[in-house]
Amino acid sequence: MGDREADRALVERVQAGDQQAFGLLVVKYQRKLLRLVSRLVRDPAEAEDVAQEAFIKAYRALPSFRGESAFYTWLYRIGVNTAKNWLIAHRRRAPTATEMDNMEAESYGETDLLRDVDTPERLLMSKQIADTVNLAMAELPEELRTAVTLREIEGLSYEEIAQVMDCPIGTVRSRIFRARESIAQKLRPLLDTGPDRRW
Amino acid sequence: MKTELSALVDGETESHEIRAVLSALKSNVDLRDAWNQYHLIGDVLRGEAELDSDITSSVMQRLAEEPVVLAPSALRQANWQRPLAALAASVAGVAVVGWLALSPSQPREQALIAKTETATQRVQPMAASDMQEYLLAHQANVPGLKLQGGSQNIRTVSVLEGGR
Repeated sequence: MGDREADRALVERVQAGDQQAFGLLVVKYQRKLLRLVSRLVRDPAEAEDVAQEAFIKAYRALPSFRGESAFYTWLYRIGVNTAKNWLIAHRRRAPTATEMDNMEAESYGETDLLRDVDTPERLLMSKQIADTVNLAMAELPEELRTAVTLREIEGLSYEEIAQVMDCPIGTVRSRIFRARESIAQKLRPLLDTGPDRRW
Repeated sequence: MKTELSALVDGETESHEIRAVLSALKSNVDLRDAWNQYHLIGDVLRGEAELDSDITSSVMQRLAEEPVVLAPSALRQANWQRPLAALAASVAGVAVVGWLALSPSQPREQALIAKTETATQRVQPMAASDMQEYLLAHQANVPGLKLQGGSQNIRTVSVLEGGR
């Protein structure tokens, strides 16, 4: 099973009436969608509103989603259209297709343009999360750090990682899980998981 | 279950595991938190922005006011089933139309009418007087049937009233 198939399984759950399964898709894609929307709607609070609206529109349109494209590609289109409509409604110029292409061509790692309107609190929180993850990564045993790096940064499949690390796929799976769990333990005190944040 | 969850984050869950993992995610809040944390870790490592944002609970609150999404199950049929179903329907349609068009219709209709008339004749209701005679004869000849006089009268009167 690949990432697309995993998404399809979640989409089918939503289409069968499981609303919570949609929450799992929101968790998975919210930061990617927010980053995309932030390229059009610069204010962080407004960008969040637009991203929320895009998810709601996607949920409403999900019965007609046939899986011909990947779920994220489909969500991406809804996000761009929602942001453009928002700009028109707020009498701001929506970017042309060429401008959109140019923005897409920019490096995804380039975030200076996006962050100049962030509040100090938001910047601090982001920095704390990033520092905690990076420190926890540095403290991992080498085989765990290599496995999770090959997966998360290089995007290799478990089979490819098994070949690179010369170990069984089951070992790769176990190492990546142990790496994530070790980092997550250090991350949890920073994250708000109170009842009002749960769904 | 968290090992399987971690594999699901990567789209590497075995086919036979996915149902169990998704069901566990539905009922277990800690697993959903772990799903969130594992995705956040990946986003940090890939240098994603917006690390401090989590719009999930806001979206889910709004979704609670939405009608539940339900796609017709036929739409989720596997692709290979769709052309087969269409083909089967077409063949059935052609067969029915062909049978109606090619079969000799007149003799069949006449035969049906004849049968109907026969059946109608057989169920002609008896006249009330015939019925009364029949009942009296029946009661007189059935051994062991001990109808009292009152009962006989009630039955006879009832038949006569029905005949009016």
